[in-house]
Amino acid sequence: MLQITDLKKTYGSRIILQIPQLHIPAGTHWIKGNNGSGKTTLMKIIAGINPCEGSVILNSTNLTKNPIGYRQQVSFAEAEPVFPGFVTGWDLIRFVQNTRKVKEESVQTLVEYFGVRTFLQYTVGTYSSGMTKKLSLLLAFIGNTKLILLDEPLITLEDSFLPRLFSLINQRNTQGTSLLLISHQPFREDQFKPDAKIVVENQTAQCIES
Amino acid sequence: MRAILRLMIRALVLPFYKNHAGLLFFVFFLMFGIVESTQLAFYHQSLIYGMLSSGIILSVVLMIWLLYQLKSLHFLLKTSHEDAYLFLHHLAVLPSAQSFFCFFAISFLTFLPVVVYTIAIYAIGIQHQFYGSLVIVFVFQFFLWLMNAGMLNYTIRNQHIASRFTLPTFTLPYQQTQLGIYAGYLFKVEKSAVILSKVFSLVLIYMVKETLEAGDNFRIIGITWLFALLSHTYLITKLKVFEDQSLSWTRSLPISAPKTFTTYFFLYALLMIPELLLLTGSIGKGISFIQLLLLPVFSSAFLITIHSYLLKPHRDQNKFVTYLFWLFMICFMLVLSKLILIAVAVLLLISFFSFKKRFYIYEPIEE
Repeated sequence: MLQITDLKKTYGSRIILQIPQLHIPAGTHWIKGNNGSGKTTLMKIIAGINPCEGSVILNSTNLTKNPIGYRQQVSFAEAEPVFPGFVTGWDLIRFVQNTRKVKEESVQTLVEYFGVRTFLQYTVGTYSSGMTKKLSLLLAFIGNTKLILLDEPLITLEDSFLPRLFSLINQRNTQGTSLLLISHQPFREDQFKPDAKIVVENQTAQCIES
Repeated sequence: MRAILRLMIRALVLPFYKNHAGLLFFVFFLMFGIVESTQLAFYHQSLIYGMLSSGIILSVVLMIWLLYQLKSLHFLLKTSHEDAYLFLHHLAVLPSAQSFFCFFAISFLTFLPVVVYTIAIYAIGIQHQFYGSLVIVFVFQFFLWLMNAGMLNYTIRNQHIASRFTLPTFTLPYQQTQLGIYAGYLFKVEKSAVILSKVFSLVLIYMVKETLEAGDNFRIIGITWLFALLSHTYLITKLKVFEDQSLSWTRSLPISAPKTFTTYFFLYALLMIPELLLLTGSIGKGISFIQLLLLPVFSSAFLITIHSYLLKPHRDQNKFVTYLFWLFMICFMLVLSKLILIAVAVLLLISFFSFKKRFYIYEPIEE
C-alpha cells in the first residue's frame, strides 16, 4: 500500500526523520513512539502537508510526481485541529465535500453518525475542543479515500463516542480503506485491534506485525 | 515594574512592529522614498507648513493618526486575548494606576514613528509661530495615548464584562469555497486592517484623480495605483499567516497549485474593486476604459508575486522588505516607461511558476 524510500526530514540542521525503507501494507496500523520522536511529522509527510526528501508512494501514486492523484487517496485529521473561527461546520464540510466530489447522501450519513448536526450551523470559533475534534474526524472520513490518517483521535472525545469511532474505523477498513492512527493511549482489544504497529524511534520507523 | 514593562514591550510592541512592517514600510516609502534626497528637507517643510496652516489638511492628518491608533488598539486587544498572552491578565492584580502606566507606555511606543515625525512638526511650527495648531497636535496625540491606555487597562481589568463595542459582522456567501474562506478572513477577521489599507489607497487615488485633466497620461494613475497596491502588501503577510495556522490541513486535500493561484488571483482583483469604482469617473481623463480594466489584472499580478515570495522556504523578514522594495522599484520604472502591459505579463509569469514550484515544497509555519 504505502512505500517510503530514502525519506529525510530536517528542521534546520536537526534531523527529525531518516527512513531508508518503510513498507506499510494495507490494513490498520498503530503508530507508536515517544514524545518528539517524529510521529506527527511522519504523518504530516504522508498526508502531503509537510515536504521532505525521498519518495512516498501510495498504491503506485507518487506524492511528488502526482500530488493531486496522491491527495485524492489520502485524508488526515490533526491531533489538535485548528480551523478558521468565522466559518461554520457546514461550510467546512461543504468545502471538503466539493473538493473531494462526494455525494450528499454519504455526507448526511456521516453527520448523523457523528451526532454533530445540532452545532454545524454555528461558527467553528464557538466550538469546544471536543466539538472541533469531532468535526476534524468527520472531515477526514468524507469521501472514499484509500488511506485515513488520524493523529491522536481519542483525545478530547467523550468516552461514549469512542465505540462509535472504532466501529467506523473497523467498517472503513473492511471496505478496503487503510488507517494509520497515532495514539499514546493503548486501544481496548474488544474495540480496535490494529494489524500492525509502526514504531518511530531513533529518527527512523519500522513496521512490526502484531 | 521595569521587568513587567520590559516583558510587555517584548510581548506587545515588538510583535506590533513585526506585524505592521509592510504598512510602515509603505508609509516610510511614501514619505521619504519618492522625493529626491536634495529636495527631501524642502518637501517635508512644505508638507508640515501646509498641515499647520490649513485646518482641513490638519484634520485629515489627525484622522489618519486616529486610524493608526485604532489599528494599534485592535492589534493589542486581539493579541492580549490570544491563549499565549493569557499571562497579561495578571496585570489586573496590579493597582489600576500602575497597569494604566504600563499600557500608556505601550500605547506611546506603538505610536513612536508618528512621535518622531512630530518633532519636526514642532520645530517648523515654532519657527513659523503656529502655536494654536501645535497645541492641537499635542493635545490630540496625548488623547490618543490616553485612549489606548485606558481601553487596554479597562479590558484587562474587566474580562468578566462583555464587550460593548464591536465592529459589525456580516455573512459572506460562498464561504464553502477556497476564495470564500480567504475573503472571509480578510473581510471578517482583518476588517480593520482592510479599512486602514482602503483609507490610505482611496485617499491617495482620490487626491490624484481630482488633479487629472483630459489628455493626461495613464502613467500618473499607473504609479498612483502602484502606491495604492503597496498599502495592501501587509494584508498578504496576514493572509499567509492565516493560511499557515488555520488552513494547513487543506494541504492534504486534492487542490492543485494552479487552482490556488487562480483563487488568489481573483481575491486580489476583488480586493481592489473600491479603488476601481472610484476611478470609473475619470475615464477620458488620464485613463481609458481598457486601461481601467487592466488595473485589477495589474493588482493581482503585483500582489500575487509578493504572495509567491512568501512561499519561499527559509525566508527572512529583512530579505522580504528588500524584495518588496526592488519589486516596487522595477514596477515603478516599467509603469513610468509606459510598459505596464509588460510588467503585468512578466509578473504573472514569474509568480505563476514560482508559486507552482514552491507550493508543494512549502513548510507551513505553525507559530
